[in-house]
Amino acid sequence: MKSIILLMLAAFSLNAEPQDAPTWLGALQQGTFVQEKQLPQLKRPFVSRGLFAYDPDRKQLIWHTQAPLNNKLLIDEQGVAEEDAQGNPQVLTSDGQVSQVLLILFSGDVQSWQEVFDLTWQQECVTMTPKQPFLRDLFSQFELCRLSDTQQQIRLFETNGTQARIVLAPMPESEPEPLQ
Amino acid sequence: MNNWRWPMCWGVVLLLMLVSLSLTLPRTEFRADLRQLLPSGSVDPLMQQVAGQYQQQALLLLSHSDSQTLTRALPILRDKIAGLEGVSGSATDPSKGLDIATLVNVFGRFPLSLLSAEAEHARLNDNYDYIVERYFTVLSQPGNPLVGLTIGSAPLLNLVDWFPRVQGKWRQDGEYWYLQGEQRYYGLFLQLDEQALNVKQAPWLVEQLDVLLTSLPADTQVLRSGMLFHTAVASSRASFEMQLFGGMSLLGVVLLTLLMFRRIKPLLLTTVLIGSSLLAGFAALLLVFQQVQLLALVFAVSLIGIAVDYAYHLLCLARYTGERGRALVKHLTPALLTSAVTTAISYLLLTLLPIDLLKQVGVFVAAGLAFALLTALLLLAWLPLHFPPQAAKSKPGSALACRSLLALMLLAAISGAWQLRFADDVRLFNSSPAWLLQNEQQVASLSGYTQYPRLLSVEADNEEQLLQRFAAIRHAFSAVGLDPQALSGLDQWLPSMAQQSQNASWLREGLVQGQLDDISSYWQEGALQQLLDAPDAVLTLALLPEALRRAYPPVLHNGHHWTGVLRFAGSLDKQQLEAVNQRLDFPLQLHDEPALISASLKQLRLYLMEFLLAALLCMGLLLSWRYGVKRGALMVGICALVTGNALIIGQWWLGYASLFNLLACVLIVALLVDYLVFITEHGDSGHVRQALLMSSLTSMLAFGMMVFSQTPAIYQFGFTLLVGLSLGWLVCRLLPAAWIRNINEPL
Repeated sequence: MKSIILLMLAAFSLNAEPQDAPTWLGALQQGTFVQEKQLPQLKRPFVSRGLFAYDPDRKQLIWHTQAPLNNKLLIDEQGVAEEDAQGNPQVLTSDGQVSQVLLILFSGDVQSWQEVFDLTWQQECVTMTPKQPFLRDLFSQFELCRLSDTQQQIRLFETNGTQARIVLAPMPESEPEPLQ
Repeated sequence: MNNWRWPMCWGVVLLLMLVSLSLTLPRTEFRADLRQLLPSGSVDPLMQQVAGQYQQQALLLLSHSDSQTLTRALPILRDKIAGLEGVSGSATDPSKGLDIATLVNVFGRFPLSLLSAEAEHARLNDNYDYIVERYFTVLSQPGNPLVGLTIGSAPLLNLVDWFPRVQGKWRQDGEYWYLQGEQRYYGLFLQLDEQALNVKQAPWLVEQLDVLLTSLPADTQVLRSGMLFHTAVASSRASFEMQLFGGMSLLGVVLLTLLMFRRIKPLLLTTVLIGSSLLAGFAALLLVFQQVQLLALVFAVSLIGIAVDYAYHLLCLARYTGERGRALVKHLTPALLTSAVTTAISYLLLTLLPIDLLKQVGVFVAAGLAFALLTALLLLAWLPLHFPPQAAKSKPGSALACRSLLALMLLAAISGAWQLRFADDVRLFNSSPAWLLQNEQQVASLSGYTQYPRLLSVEADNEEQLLQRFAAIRHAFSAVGLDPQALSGLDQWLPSMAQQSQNASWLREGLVQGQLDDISSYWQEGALQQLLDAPDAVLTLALLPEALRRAYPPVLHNGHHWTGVLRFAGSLDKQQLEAVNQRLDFPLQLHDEPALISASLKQLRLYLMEFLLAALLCMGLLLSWRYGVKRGALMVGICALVTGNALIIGQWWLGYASLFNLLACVLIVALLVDYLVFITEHGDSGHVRQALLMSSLTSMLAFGMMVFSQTPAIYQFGFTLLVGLSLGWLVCRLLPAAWIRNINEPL
C-alpha cells in the first residue's frame, strides 16, 4: 500500500512539472508594485506602492517606493543600498542572502529557481520551497502567480508569521521614464 | 684499573645526563616564533594573550571563476579540515556561531535603548521624523526578515538598523561568506590548538591542509594567511638547514680530522667529545627551560665549533709530545681550563640579559663547554692513543706582516666605526617566502586585517567609564580622518549605560508626546502602553551572549581595574596614534607586534653590545691575572680588532649590521681567546699551530656553510663568523714568536 502511494506521488510530481516554463514568467522586468505586508503585531496591513525595475544583466533590482514615503532601494547580490538625497547609494545591509533570493525570484529563470527551491506547479502559480536550511529558517515558501495578462503576484511567507503580497503590473503610460 | 677510574666517572655523569634528558624531553615544547625575542615583562600579558589568540587563527581564501562549483566543494573541505589533529574549529562563517535569533532574543529585551549611529544623530537633533521615516523604509523593503524577527520585541523597528554591520568587508552568499576582489574570495576560518603552532605540528598540519586543498576544483586560487603557515615554512626550512649544514660541516670535520691524523680513533674521540658536549648542553637547556626556542638551538650549535678545538689541542699535544694520562692532563689543563672558563663565563653573562633566547644560548653553550672540558680531561686523555712519535713543523710568524695587518685592521676599525649602521626592523629578518608574504598582502588588502593584529587597549575604573572611553576613541578616530568602523570591539554591541538611558528617554518622550503616532497607529491595542510601562532595563557586558564575547577582542576586569581591547583593521602609524591620543584625556595603548619585536631587537642589540664589552673586560681581567696586564691587554685588543673588522666587513657586504652580526662576534671572541690562550700557554710550538689550523678550518667550514642559508639571521651570523675566523686565524698565524713566548718570560 505504501509503495502504491509513493508511486502515485511520484507520478503526480512528474505530471506537475511542465516541460517548458510558462510564457508569462519573466515577462515583467519593470513596472509598478503594490506591496501589502501583514504582520501579527500590526492591526492593519502595511501597504506601500511604487516602481520597480529588474536588470538581468547587472543582476540588480531597483525598488522605488513612492508611498507612504519616497525612497529608492538598490538590491543586488551584495545586499541592499539606499539612494540618498544626492543620488549616492548608502549600504543598508551587506547581507546578500535575502537579496539573492529576491533577484532569483525576479529573474523568472526556472533553472535558477530549481537550484534554490523545490517547485510545485499549479495552473497559474508556482510555489517555491527553499532547499537550503538557512533560507528555510527565514522563509517557509514563496509563491508566484499570474493574476492576468498584465499582472503577476509574488507572495513571501516568513517563518515568523509575516506575509508579504506584492502585485506587479506594467509601467503606466503616465510614467514614461524608465527607472535607473 | 687506575687509568679507567676517570673515564668511568665521566660515564656516570653521562648516564645521569641521559636520565635527565629522558625525564625532561617529553615536557619540553619547541617553538619557532619571534615573540621569544621579547624581553621578559616588556609586554602586557593581557595583550600578549589576546595577540596569541589571533595567532591561533588561520584563514584560507578560495576563489574560482565558477562560484557555485566552489561553494559545493566548500562544506566537504570544511568538514575534512575540522577533523585534522590540531584544528579545533573550521567554519565558513566569520561570526562563529552567532545566530540572529539569539541576538534578537538578547537585544530585544532593551527595545528603546539601542539606536543606530544615524538614529543617535537624529536624537541629538530631536528629529523624530527620522525614526518614522526609517520605520516606513524598512517595512516597505521587500523581504527583510529582521522586521518580522524584531517587531515583536522592539515595535519601533529601531533594532533592524541597530544591528551593526559587524562582518566588516565580509559578504554573505547563503551559508558562505566572501570578500569581493576581482572575483569572490570565500573564507574558511580555522581555529587552531596551541600545539598546532609548534615546530613539529605546524609543518605536518600545513602538509595535510595542502593535501585536502587538492580536492578543490581545478584552477581554484588559494590565499593563505596566519602564523601557522609562516611557522610551518620557518620550521621546515630551519630543520632542513640544520640537517644540511650540520651534515655538511660534520662531513667536513670528519674529512679534516682523518686527513690530519690519518687514523679512525682520533675521529671517534672527536665525535664523542662533540656529541657528549651537545648532549650536555641540551640536557642543561631542557632542565632549565620548558619552552625551547628553535633559533636558540641553531645558535647554540656554535658549541661544536668551540668544543672540537679541545679535542684537537689534546690530540695534537698527544701526537707531537707522546704524552698520555696524567702527564697529558697536567700539560693540557692550564690552557684548557683558562680557555673553557673564560669562554663559559662570557657565555654565562648572556643569562643575565632579560631575553629567553639568549639565556638559552648561554646555558646551552656554558654547560656544553663544561662537559667538553670534562670529556677531554676525564676520558680522552686517559684512552690509549697510538700515534708514532712525530715532530711538528712550525713556520715562525712575521712581526712586520702581523704589525701591518693589525695596523690595517685598526685603520679599518676607526674609519668603519663611524659608518656602522645597525638595522633592527624585524621585517629584515623575515624568512617567509615571497609567495606567502604576497598572500598575506592580498588578504590584508581584501579584509583590512594584517597578519599581526593591531590591538588598542584602554583602561578604566568601571564598565561604564570603559564604554564611554570606547565611544571617545571612536570619535577621536573619526576626527583625525580614520575610519571608526575599522575598530572592532564589543562596544559595537554595547553602548554606554548613559547613552542607553538617553535613547530610551527620548523615544519614550516621543511616544508620549505623539511624535511617533504615525508608527503606533499600526500597533495592536495595548502595545503602546505595554512599551511605555516596561521597566527601564540596561544592557551590560554580562548580558551579552557568550558567542558574541568570544568573537571580539576581550573586555576584562579585576576588581576596579577594567581593560578593554579594540582591533584596528588598517594601518595606523605613530603620528596618527599621537593625534588620536591628543584628543583623549586618557592613554590609548597600541600593541603593534612587529614594532614591538623591532624595538626588542634594538634593545637586544644594545644589550649584546654591552655584553660584548663586559665579556672583553671580564676576559681582559682573567687573562691579565693569568698572563700579566700587557699580554692580557694584547690578547683582548686582538679580539676587539678582529670582531670590529668582522662587523665592518659585514656591513660593507650586507649594507647594514644587525643583532645577528653581533651574536657572531660573541663566538669570534670565544674562539679567538682560545687560540690566543693556547699559543700563550704552549708557545710557538708546531702542535699548537696544527691544532689552530684544524680548529679554524673546521669552524670556518661549520659556520661558513651558514652563508647558504635562506634565513637572513643565520646568513648574517655565518657571514660574520666566516670573515672573523679567517681574520682571527691569520692574526694568530702571523703572530711572531717574540710576542707569544712562554708565560714565564716577560713580554
